[in-house]
Amino acid sequence: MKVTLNIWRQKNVSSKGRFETYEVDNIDEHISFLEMLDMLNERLLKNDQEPISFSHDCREGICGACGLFINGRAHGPMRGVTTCQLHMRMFNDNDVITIEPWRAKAFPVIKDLTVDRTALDKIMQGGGYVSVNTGGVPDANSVIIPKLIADEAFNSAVCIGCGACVATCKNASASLFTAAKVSQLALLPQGYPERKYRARNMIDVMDGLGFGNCSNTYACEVDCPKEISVLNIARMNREYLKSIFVSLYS
Amino acid sequence: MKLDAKIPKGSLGEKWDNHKFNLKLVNPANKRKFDIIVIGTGLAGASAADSLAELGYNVKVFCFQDSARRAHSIAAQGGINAAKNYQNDGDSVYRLFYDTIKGGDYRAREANVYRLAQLSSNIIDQCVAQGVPFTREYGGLLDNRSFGGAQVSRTFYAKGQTGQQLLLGTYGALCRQIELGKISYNPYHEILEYVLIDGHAKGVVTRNLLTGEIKSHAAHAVIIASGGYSNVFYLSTNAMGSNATAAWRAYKKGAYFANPCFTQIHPTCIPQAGEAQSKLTLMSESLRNDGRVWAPKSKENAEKLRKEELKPKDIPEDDRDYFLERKYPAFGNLVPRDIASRAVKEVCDEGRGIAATGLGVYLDFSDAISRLGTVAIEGRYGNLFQMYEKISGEDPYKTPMKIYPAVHYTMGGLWVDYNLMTTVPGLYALGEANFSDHGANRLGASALMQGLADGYFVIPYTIGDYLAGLGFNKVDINNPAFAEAEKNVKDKIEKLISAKGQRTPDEIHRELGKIMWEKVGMSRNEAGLKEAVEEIRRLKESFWKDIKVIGEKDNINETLEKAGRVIDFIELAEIMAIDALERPESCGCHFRLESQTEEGEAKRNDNDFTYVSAFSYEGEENEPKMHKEELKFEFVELTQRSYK
Amino acid sequence: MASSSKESLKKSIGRSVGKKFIMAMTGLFLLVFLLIHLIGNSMLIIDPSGETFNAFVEGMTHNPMIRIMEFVLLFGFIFHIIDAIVLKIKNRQVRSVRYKVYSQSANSKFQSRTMLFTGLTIFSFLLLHIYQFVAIRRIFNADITMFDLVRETFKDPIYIGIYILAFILLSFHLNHGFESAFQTFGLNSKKYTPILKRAANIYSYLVPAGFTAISIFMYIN
Repeated sequence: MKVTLNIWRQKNVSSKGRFETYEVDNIDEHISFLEMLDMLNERLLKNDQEPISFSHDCREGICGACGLFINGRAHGPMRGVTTCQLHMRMFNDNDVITIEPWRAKAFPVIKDLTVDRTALDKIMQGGGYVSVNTGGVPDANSVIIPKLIADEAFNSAVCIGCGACVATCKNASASLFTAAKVSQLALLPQGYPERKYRARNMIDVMDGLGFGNCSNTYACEVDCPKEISVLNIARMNREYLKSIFVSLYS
Repeated sequence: MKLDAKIPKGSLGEKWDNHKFNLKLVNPANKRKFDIIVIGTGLAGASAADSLAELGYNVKVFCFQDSARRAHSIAAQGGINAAKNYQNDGDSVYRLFYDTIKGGDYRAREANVYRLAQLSSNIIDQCVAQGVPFTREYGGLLDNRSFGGAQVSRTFYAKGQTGQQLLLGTYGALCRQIELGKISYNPYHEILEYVLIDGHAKGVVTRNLLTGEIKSHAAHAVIIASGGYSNVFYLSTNAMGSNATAAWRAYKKGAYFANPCFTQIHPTCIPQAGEAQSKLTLMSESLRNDGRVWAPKSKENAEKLRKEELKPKDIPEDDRDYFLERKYPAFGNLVPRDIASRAVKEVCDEGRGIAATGLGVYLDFSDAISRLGTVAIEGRYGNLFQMYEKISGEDPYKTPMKIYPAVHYTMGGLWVDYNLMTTVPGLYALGEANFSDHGANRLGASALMQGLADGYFVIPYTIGDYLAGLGFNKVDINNPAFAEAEKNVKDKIEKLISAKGQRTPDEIHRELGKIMWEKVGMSRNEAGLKEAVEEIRRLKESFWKDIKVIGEKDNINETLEKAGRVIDFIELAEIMAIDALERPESCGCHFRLESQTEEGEAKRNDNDFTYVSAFSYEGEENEPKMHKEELKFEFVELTQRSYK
Repeated sequence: MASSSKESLKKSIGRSVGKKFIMAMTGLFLLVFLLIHLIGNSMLIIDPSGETFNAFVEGMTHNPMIRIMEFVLLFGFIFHIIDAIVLKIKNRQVRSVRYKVYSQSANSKFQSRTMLFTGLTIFSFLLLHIYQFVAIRRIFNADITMFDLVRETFKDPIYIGIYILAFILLSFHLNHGFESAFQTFGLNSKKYTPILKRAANIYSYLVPAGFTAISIFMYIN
């Protein structure tokens, strides 16, 4: 099959970018979308043109490194997949595909389709953990957690930190990302001692980094490759309001 | 140099306790006077970094990815072993130790493996305290499953994403120390050189992958936790960025590289679809619990299946060969990874392979589905089936999966003593980057265990012993050794970027992969290995005139990064082939055609080869030198594995 | 993770989630007002002579509680609108380069993406509405009963058209706003979300439909 690609090219953080059009022919429909880009890059390199920069690593949908905005959607048109899990059979012959980087002020474009997502690390540093040191912890089975709660915490914990929620949100809000971690630790007894501060601290960091406000369009939930529910955002809001209005320790 | 593993005296159970008591301690107030560099943020690196920072050391962490959370530990599916005996089924530290050392085909150190088994329980406690959401039973206690053919249920898991959850737990601890200012965090950095002063590791030279800046970093000790080197094979289940550069540059500075030829090939991966394939995807080992592996009996049918003139359901039962069940009636489809992989390869070599390339066999769930129903199968493997369908476009509920073995893990790595120190004082290697615990074959669910044991519970003790003898002076970054190392790095980058060849890094890498897969892969023989050594050497020689790199050196330049990693892979491949050649016995994953039983199984030669081979770098002009660390088995009796 | 457990209210409501909380609180308050307004309007149908309606209006005008509530309502509107604009200003700054292709309709509802537009349009209608039904009597002291005023105004088919259009937009606004408020309060959960969604749908369709029906009724009569 053959596709025409409109790809965002940008030399570095400070330069202005532009779209370039490329045609890729002789594509086996069983290869992945990123392998199709690999093919293009091999060709560019052979012709002394600079290959297109894009993030990727595990190529099995778990590391969260990849993330392209494909035809107006984060990770493309399929639900519940990362960019690296997209395969060419999901496209048609002679399709025109527009590929853009994640666009958000908090994710500056470093080169072409690669963006800097350290802002997400910073949110985690704001409180996405339980403050326990190595050693001196109780036996694993001394804390009993109902299966349903543990499973629910797991469902929040599956976030891969790809930033699709930010990319697809009309306000570039990082609420789903932040809420997934707040939620996981709010559900588990291990997170209890710090829950009063966790939501506040993480929201403070999130607000300070240039992410927008959540306006509940729920686009994040639809484009999240791990299909993390917006109920997590409700839980984060609840945690926050509780920490403001209800004294957890008086 | 004689290799001294520094194994403590005493019975197995006493060794680690005695050793901990004998190790020197650093006074709590003095810990902040020491700087430690950690390379890599996978389970081993991150757990070491945060544990050391908690103790008070100043830690500087580097990873090449854009975030510490992307390290490839995240992709581990199955689980993590621990000798908790929560299931009351007869597990114990000794049994975990015994299974691991036997599974490694008696090519690992008893003392290290025993310590690993001892520490396994602490890991689970630690992870639960961090809020890792392990799968639980309805009563609220942790669930366990039996994994990889183990006879007890000792594997803890978080659905099919155990590695991810464990990594995020330790990543959280890392984030906490960054926030507290005890860890300096440097993503997008690649280690390109080590700095030795008076023979001791005192720092590293890094390249900032965003700006191209070359910079020196000084420290009192350096920890390598940069993972394995499966990507020597080009196609593997490792991440695209996983590389051997940090470990290989350490080798070139004097760290010995041990058992390089011990590479594990996992039987159940999705077969290669074509030339453009960039990596292989693992399907969990647990699938073999209910899936039956088969290939057509006749080549004619295989041919028709390859061309899609026939569908697998068109092959009548009598024309199918369930070869694992036929060859290993006792274990059937559940034989260990190395055995299953080799059997699949044999079938495909006979021309009975399926899939477009002829490199694949079926993993068929139709029996299990008709016996247990679709719902039960979905409950067990739903997410795996979904993943398979996304990648292959075929529905495994209706048509059998296609599978083929792929390189998955490397047991070999930097040689370390009992303290996890390499042959360079002050330079440590943890996790998959070292060679220490898995012998010639790693059992399922023990990689996560080893990475975290090393990082959480071994290095925090052993590194103090070294640091306590150093004195409190800061390492002088103006020492000429740093400038010299920086110059070497810059020269090499200049050489790469100005290369005027016509082959892309990927082209050369693919060629290397092909040599390795065919001649240093699942089964090896003397003639093939000799050819491989020659071919690798030719590739090494032609690399500098063939390689093509364009772009700038002071910007992101993936081609430049790849080219630098590919030449390191090529050099490493050479000692892998030499090591395989010089070990004419079969053991674990290392199968030499010359050394097999009458039934075609691996035959060890304990009289001549009960040692660890460790290679030292002797300069560009000279061949690497092999050293032997004899393995002494005082507590277990060496037996031949049999799965018939 | 150290942090002071006490902080000023200003700080608490200054965070993004705090601002959303104000938005939801004022929004819910306005929802209640709208319902009371509808009850008042329904007198137009219950008693077509207009006597009940006029009595209701008189009662409301002279009730000191209602006069106080008028101020509260005024502040409710002001906060709701200012907060919306503050949030929007920040949200406009989050992208320096916009997407060339942006398929928002594939992952979110129209009404959730157009709150400011529907809100501001309704606000302009509200100004017209206040001019016609409040200012004329109270500021310009027109000597006309409310019922007569209503009857006169609803004779104009163009006005009816504007009125209905405003309520269609209000329906969109309410549909998202109602549901969204519960999300912001953190009350959404697996158990309650379906009920809240249904309530949001019922409210956002029935209330504007009620207003519209009354206006048509007035026109026909």
